[in-house]
Amino acid sequence: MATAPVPAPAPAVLTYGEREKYDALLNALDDTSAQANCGSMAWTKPLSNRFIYADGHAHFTGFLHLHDWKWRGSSKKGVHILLSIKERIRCSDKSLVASGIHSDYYFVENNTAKLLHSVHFDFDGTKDCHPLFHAQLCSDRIALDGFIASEIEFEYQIDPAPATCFRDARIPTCDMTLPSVLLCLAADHFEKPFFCQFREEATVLQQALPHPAITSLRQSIAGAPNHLRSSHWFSHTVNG
Amino acid sequence: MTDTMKTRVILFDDVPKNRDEVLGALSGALGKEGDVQLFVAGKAGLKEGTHEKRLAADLGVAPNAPASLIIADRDLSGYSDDYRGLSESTVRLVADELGIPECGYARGERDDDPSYIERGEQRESCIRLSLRPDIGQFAKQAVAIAGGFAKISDGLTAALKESSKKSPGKLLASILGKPEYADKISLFASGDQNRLAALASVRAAKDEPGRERRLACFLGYWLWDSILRFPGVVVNEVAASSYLNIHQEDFQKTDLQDLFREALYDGPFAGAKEQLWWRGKLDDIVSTSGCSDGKIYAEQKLKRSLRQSQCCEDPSKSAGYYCFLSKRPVSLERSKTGLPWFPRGADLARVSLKAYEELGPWL
Repeated sequence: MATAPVPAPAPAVLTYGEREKYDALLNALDDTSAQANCGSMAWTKPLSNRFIYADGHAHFTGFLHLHDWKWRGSSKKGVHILLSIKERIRCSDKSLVASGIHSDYYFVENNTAKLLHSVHFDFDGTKDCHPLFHAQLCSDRIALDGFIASEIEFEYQIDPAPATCFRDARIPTCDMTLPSVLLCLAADHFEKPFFCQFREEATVLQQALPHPAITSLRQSIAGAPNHLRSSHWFSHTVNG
Repeated sequence: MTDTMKTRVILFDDVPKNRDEVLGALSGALGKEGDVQLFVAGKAGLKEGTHEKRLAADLGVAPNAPASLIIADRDLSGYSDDYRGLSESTVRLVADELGIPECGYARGERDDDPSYIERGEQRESCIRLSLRPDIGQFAKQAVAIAGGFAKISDGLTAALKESSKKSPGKLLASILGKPEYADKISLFASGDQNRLAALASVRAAKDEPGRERRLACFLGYWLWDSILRFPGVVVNEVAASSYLNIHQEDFQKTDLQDLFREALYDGPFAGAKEQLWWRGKLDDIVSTSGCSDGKIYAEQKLKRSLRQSQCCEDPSKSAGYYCFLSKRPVSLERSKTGLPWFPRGADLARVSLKAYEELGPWL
């Protein structure tokens, strides 16, 4: 009797080539920031070594310090941006199933860092009433242990004063015109059944409301529909 | 290998006894693969002009041409008449212009003084060979270097046919048969200002064959003194054991190294360098087996327990990285990140805290 072929076991880890792309991405940013005379970067290198495995998932943690980056392109004023990056990747199909990026903006003077603004960018498809991709302003800072702080060259005294807002940080989100804002408010403040009810109504109503002019974004997504990364959100800049 | 592809080494040495010894050793190591020719002065017939001008002319005619590699003693002050006061640096300068790879050795190299070789390692585009432990080993290395440059030259022709607009990193990755490592290899060039002059010289070549010869030389030196020197794309035995989390002594066992045989580096200069492994290949052997590190993988395969790698500063910690100064395994926590002169691609190269404290002001 012929035996059924044994299916190949799902890979339990990520290959070097897959992990190395994280470093490649940061190196590319580092190159560009140097070319733009924007500031320097330090991160927990190599990122390819910062994965641990559990339950069929790769858990990635990394830290990045954008050192004295220009406040904006034409500015001479500098800001320090600290990122804590956490990801969970399902090894069997290499999908990113959760991502949390915490970014802190600091003004550094006399070796003291004053928090200007702190925000989380989150993606986790399993949480009820959370928009799939979202940004959250927050007041908690990234906590660095001494070793990581030294590694990414963020060894400043921290000003204990409460955070103020850094208004030049622009956060790509989905269409946040009126129906969207209201839906998000419902998500934040309603229990799940009520949220679902409002969502059903809002989805119908928003068809009849004026649509934002997003031709360029639409074309960008139609041209590369396999991802929804922020490059789409800047298509008007490159095509306009 | 066809007759026209035979290796041809041109030797510069002004002391007859030493010259004959080196000539014999090189000839023996080359065997039927090629021949070695002592440099013959004055063949181009130029009687006037600088050393550089006459040397370039003499190296352009038989029996000095064609040359696959020039090997020159550091001290050439004994050359008389036309080339009185000749030095290895002048030979090197002319070799660069002609696109002929060159490497030096020091006749008077003392057994207790490694500085001649070490200083060479710290310079860009410089290959120095030691006559120790014996001249036979020296000759084998020289032949492997000639073969390495020849491989690069052959591979470059093919790589340029695919596309002439590739970056040096992409060209070298293609020559090495590892196009998937092109980005990583390119990081070894990123920010390396010292090579800009050599690249400018490639662009300044008057004709296409000359440009290709200079580019092959450039890529060969870059591979030799940066990519194969710093742990990132490839790793030496200590760095490999550390990366795999296997104790250095355990990693020296033949049955263990057999598990990683397919990751051995066998590209250009493999016979002239210490044994090296492709870092990505080592990683893939481990990860495709579903193991989280090399120690677990090897223990499963060999059915015996192994010791984990040991940080040179704290043996209770596993290592993972390589202290480039002490040449020992080191942990992330007990080391400093790359020094400014480390290539950006050398992401496994660190400096142990102790070495950093001792040498910090000089680094």
